[in-house]
Order: sequence, then structure tokens, then C-alpha cells
Amino acid sequence: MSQVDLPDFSAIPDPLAAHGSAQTPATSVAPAPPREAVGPTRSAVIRRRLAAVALGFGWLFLVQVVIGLRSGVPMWIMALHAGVPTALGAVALYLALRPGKVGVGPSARSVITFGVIGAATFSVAALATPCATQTMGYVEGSLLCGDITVLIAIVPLAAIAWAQRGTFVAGAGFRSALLGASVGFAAAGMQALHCIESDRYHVLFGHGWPVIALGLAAYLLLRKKLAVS
Amino acid sequence: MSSLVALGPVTLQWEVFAVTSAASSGEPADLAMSRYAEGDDAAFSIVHRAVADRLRAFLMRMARSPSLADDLLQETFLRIHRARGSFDVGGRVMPWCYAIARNVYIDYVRQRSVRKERPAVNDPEEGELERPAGPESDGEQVTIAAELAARVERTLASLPPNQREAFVLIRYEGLSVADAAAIVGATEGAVKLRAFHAYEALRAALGDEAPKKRGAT
Repeated sequence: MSQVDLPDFSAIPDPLAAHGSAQTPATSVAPAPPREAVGPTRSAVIRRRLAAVALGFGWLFLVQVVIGLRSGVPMWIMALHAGVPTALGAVALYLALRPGKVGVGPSARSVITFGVIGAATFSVAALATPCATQTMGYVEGSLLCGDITVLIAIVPLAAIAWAQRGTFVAGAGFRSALLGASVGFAAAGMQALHCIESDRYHVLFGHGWPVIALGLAAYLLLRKKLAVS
Repeated sequence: MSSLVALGPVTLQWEVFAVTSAASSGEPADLAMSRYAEGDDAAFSIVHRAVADRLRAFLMRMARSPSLADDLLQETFLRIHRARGSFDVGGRVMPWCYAIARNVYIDYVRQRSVRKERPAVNDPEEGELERPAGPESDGEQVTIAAELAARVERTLASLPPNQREAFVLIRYEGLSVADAAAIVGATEGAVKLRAFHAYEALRAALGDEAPKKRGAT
């Protein structure tokens, strides 16, 4: 069932049908692959993935212990600013790694839906809080926080990229971007626990641009590494 | 491997059953790929028999050259070996393999464009496909069919690759729009639109000679 409702769609002749090559067997027996060309088993890939996620969380926890928690901000604001990005990061990670309906990855529609809902949720969480403290200018504050967030995210991103190398059979571009955004969200959540600024626009832009930047960087730098090649 | 030695005839019978079933339903091929993904090397022969011909036909339609399609098929199987660990439980082997074959073809086209190579016009393998007449063929009908097929092939070759692959996957490989969209990493709407543009171009090229089929979808 093609699901394409066009008159005579299936009547367009097939050039190969007349050629007869479509019926020619490619080879009668499966050629044995060279041992070095055979990739790791599924169990090995899953173990690698779990190790990378554990390493990423361990790194984020370590960074949090070193840089410390901020003070003077109501707990609910901290929970909102840290919890929402972390939850979005978890959803992005799940989406990037899920096999989808046919086993080749998430559908483009689900990724687009996540992009819209994720951006809206992050914005609402940032803007819904009262302006508590603002000690720096918007630009310098945003650059400082963003830089720290990107630095925090590098280790988990490298870990998950190592674990997933050569495993995306389709949609390697947007799945790589999702991985970058996922790590960016998690790092933004960690940064929100430390950052002394709790101004709504600072949280929106200062903690938001690294998510976009990491998604873009992962798309540009990692998609070929993560694609099956 | 040890189970193969221990269960010799029983395993052989299962393999014969699985190969027979793989050609008809496809489900055992999915299971075989799942076993191969878990390290059961013997299961690969079942996968190979189930997918090789369809992948070759797909690559022939995309590359329009038997020898090139064979090269790309080899590369596709190499990537299947390398990526076996990414085949998920419950996944379907055919869309998974199509996605890999598509990437192999795209990489080939990119490499060719980087090297600024063009298909050799005089190379009979890179031009139009040769169409031998079958023993039972009627002369005039064969000529008309060959002319139509050549026109379709020329038009397909002139289409942008994303339109061509959408049309080939849906019309010739028989995939649903949803499966084709998952393979090319686009929305269903985008894939439908690409297939529609290809269809329009083919209809225009075929003109009044386009064959009609009642109730075609």
C-alpha cells in the first residue's frame, strides 16, 4: 500500500522490470566479512551507551560538587530552572536513541514536535519566575554563563558521541543535534543550580543559547562520526 | 557456533525453514538480523538471502549501472556488518538496510561531485540500461515497453536525488510513505511532496502514452 493517492501512480513503468536485472540474484551465498569489519554486538553497544550516560551524570555531579550550589534564591525557582532543562535533556536523549517504529530512528515529525514544545517549555519556565537578582549586564552575564555551560557539557557530549559512533543508520544529522541539545539542557540545568543570576531573561538567553549552540555543533561536527559508515 | 555443532541437523533444518520463510513473510529475516546483532554469525546468511536482491534492485534504480550497483551493494553489506549492534530489538531489517544502502549511494554521489566526476556517456554500464527481449515477447509490445521504460529512466535520472529516492522507495520498492519518510529522515508530508513532483515529471514525460491502471493508488 503506497498511501499515495494519485491516479495511475502504480502504472508508471519500472525500467528494471524490462531489464530483468531486478530478478538477477545479487550473489547466491553470503560473502564472509573480514573479521575487522564486523562491528560490536548490540549488547556491547548498549553497555557502551550506559557507560557513557553514567560517565556524563558522574561528571555533572562532580562539577556541581566543585562549583557549589547558589544561595539566596527560593528553592522552587532553583528547582524550576534546574528541573525543567534536565527533564528536557532526558527527553531529547531518549528521542535521539529510540529506534522508532521501523527501527531506523525517531520520525522527523517527533523531532520537530520536541523542538517546538521543548523551546516553549524552556521559555515558559524561564519567564514565569520573578526577577530575583541581577548583578551583571545581560550580555556579559549571558556570555559568562553560556561559556561555563558549554564547558560543562563537553565531557558528557564526548562520552555519548564515543558510545554512539557509527550507529545512526538514518537521520544522523537531527539525531546528532538532539544529542547535543540533550547534553546542553542537562548542563544548563546544572548551571542553574550554581548561577548567581536568576533574572528571567538571563535564564532564557544565558542558559538557552548553549543548548542551541551545542545542538548546532553536534549537527556540524558529529553527524558523520555517528552515522553508519 | 557451539550450538551449531551440537545441534547440527536440527539447526540446518531451521535454517532451511527460515530462508524459505524469509523470502515470503520477511519476519524471520528480522529475527535473523536480531540474532546477528547479538553475535550469532550464522544468522547473517539468512539476512543476506532475504535482502540482497531487493537492495541490489534499489541501488540499480538509484545508480543506473549494474556494476556500480554491485560495488555499492558490497559497501552496503560492509556497513551492515559494522553497524549490526545498532539494530534494535523489534526492528525491521528491510527499512534498516534500505537506510544504509541509501547512505552508501549518497556518499558515492557526494564523493563523485567532490571529484567533479561525471558519468561516462560512452560507458554502456553508466548510461541507459540494456533491455534484452524475453523469449515470449511480442516484438511491437516489447519495443513500446522498452521506449516507455527508457523515457521513465531518463526522467528519473534528471530528477533531484531526493525526489528520485522518494519515488523509487514508494513506487518500485513498495514501501509505505511512513517507512520511506523514516528511511530518508524527512516528514511524511515532505516525502509525499517529493514523490508527487517525481510523478508529475514522469507523467509529463510519458504524455498520452502513460499506461493506465484502473484503481491504481
